[in-house]
Amino acid sequence: MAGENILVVDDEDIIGLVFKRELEAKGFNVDHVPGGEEAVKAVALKKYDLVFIDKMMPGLDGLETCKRLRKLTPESILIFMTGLLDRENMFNEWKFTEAGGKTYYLYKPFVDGELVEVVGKALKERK
Amino acid sequence: MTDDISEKSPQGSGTFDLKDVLRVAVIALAYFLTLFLSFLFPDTKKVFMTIWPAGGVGLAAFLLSPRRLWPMIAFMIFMAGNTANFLQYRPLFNSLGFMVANVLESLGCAWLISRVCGPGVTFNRVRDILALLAGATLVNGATACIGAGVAAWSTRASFGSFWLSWWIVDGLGILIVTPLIMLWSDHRRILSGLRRSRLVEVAAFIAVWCSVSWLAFNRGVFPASHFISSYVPVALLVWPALRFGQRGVIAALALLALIGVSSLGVSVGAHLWGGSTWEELLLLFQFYMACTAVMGMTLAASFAESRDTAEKLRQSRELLDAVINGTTDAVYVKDLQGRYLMFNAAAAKAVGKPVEDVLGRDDRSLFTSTEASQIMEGDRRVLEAGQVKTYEEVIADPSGGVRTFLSTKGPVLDSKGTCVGLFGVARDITERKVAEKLAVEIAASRAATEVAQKRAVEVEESYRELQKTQTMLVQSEKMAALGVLSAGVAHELNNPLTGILGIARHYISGKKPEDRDFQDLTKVVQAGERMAKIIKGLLTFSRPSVGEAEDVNCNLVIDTVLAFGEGIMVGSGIHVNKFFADDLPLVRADKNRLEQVMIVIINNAVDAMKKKGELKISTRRVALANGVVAVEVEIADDGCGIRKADMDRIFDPFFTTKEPGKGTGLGLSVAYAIVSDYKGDILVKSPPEGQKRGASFTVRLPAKSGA
Repeated sequence: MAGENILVVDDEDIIGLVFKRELEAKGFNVDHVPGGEEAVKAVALKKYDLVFIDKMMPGLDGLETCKRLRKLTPESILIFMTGLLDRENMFNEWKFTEAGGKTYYLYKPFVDGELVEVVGKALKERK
Repeated sequence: MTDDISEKSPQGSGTFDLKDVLRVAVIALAYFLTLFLSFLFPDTKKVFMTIWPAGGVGLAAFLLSPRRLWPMIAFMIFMAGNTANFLQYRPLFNSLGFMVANVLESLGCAWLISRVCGPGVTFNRVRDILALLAGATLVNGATACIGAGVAAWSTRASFGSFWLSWWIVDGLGILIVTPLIMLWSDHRRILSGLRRSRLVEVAAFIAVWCSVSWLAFNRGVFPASHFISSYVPVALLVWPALRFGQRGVIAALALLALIGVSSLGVSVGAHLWGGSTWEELLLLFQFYMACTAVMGMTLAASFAESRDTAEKLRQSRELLDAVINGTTDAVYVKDLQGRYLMFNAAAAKAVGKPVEDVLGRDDRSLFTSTEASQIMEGDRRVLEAGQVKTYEEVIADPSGGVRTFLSTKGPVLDSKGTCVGLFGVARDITERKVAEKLAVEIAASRAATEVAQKRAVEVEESYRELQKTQTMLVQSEKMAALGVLSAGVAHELNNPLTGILGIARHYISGKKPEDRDFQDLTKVVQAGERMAKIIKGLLTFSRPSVGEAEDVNCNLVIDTVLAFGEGIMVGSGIHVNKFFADDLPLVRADKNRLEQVMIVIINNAVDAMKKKGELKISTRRVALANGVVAVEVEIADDGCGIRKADMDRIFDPFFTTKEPGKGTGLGLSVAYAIVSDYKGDILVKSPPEGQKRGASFTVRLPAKSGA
């Protein structure tokens, strides 16, 4: 379990930095893009095993980004991140599932070791 | 006299005390002496006596003594009489026969008189005199047969003349001597009532009486007094009968008898009755005396009776007058035509007219024609019904106002039961009516005050309710605003916090614990994690209802929470006591959120108890005043309690009494927000400081409808 490509879609640079520092130390390749548009471009250039998408982003929001990426890269595992847990999110989860594909949720801020655990779980399930 | 009055001896009948013995002895002696007086006046045949006061002595002795002494008296009289006869060498047969007749005579008269007149014979009643007369004539007539029979037998002489002389002689003895003894025997009364003015009259009477009597029986001594005959004393007897009563009459009769017997007219025979022998003269004189006595005594008794009746009448009239004139009620009597026969002072005062102006007139002269006809109509109804009626009458006051009278009216009946008029008693109840009206008004106003007070209390209560609602409203608005705010804040903070925590953790992982960087970064991570906790709490506000509502049993919620927390509590020496209601209704809620509420409260309790104490958790079904059924979960600790100053703030977000880093100050505000979502409430109780410590939180949730 190493060498997999991971894309992080978040308008916050520091989130990208956290992913890079945490996961690169474990041997994953981590790319960070600040928004949905950039993510669409990124998946066209490179094949990603895992894509972390922030729910709230300026421009293309998390849900829209998910929908597009689902079409563009159906083999990728999309993991939805949010700093909020509310009724709306539950609803989105449902809608997202309807759109097809497996989805994980990751709530910010992450608990210690949670990130590595989620990645490991997701990859294991894909196999 | 009978036993009832004279029986003073405590030994009762059948025994005799010294007084009784003395009395009987005196009677026997008196009888004995009286016989010797009679022996001075024997008849020509030396068989009978021509006067016989002993018969009256015997009768008086019986009448004055209690009946239980009668047999003894009878015996003693019998013995005394025979002794006297024996001492006079009289034949024993005659003596025994005469004494039987004498004792029977006295006893028979005593029985008759006490039977007819009852106890206390005074000879002041006509009935008493008639009873005495009956004794002297009828009883004496019967016993005279025995006496005359004995005399006729022993002398072979005429029974008829014996009977007649016995009858007259004994009869007079009974008629005069009996009342004389009885009326004058009461030593206490001999001088009573003899006032100085009376003494003169008594002396005058005695002088006149003695003179007239003497002249009547000694006619011809003074030619000028020839017209004074024996009928004059009869007429003159009216004087004592009117003025001195029976005692006077009987005394006068006794005087007359003495004067008559000792007079020439009786002893010599020169007077109008005829008779040739002294014995005949004496018998005729005694017959005259008997007639005079009956007349005089009857007259005196009759006067005494009418005086007595008049006195009684006067007394009852005085009583009546005292009541009628003393009362403040108007009292009146009208005849059948409505004219006033009687009108008391109070009535006169009520109508404002003197009594003289009212008597003989009817109501038309007292009242206005309307009032008069109203009153007379009332009178007519009372007379028609023939019954006493009480009703209110309203009459114009002489001073101009109107007064109310409570009037009782009824028919006045004569002795035959015929209605002869109408009586009335009227009480002025104007003041009382006013007072009653006032009392009613006071009661009404008191009731009105009470209603007003009650209403005021209600208003105050609803105002308090309103205040409470307002407070709750403010609180929930605060919560709502906080929800919106916290959602934004949480999101904005979470991203940088994720970065801080992530980077810090990353750098820690490569370091050794003794490394200074490790230690510093650990502090950063801890601070970040605390921030994360706060933000997570804040986010609770932004999610009003997360899960779907389901039927929840609060007992199970508590059990779930305790299962998680048990380890902490057992380890910290806290004992949990559960008092769960079996009939606890279900509530509609998200189980997870209710668990969150319970966790917050139980955690606070555990913190307050500082690892030692008893945690009491009770659940119950309650019916609220508005009819709503609710479930209450009470969580009570015996920890440090809540300070009074903190009481108002415990539900405020970010208010905490826990040491920095330990509490977020969001637990109870979140719990409150959740419970409010389900239209419930959290009630807090904590005793004032200084008293028993501890706090209790009661979560009240409405039961599932129909539960």
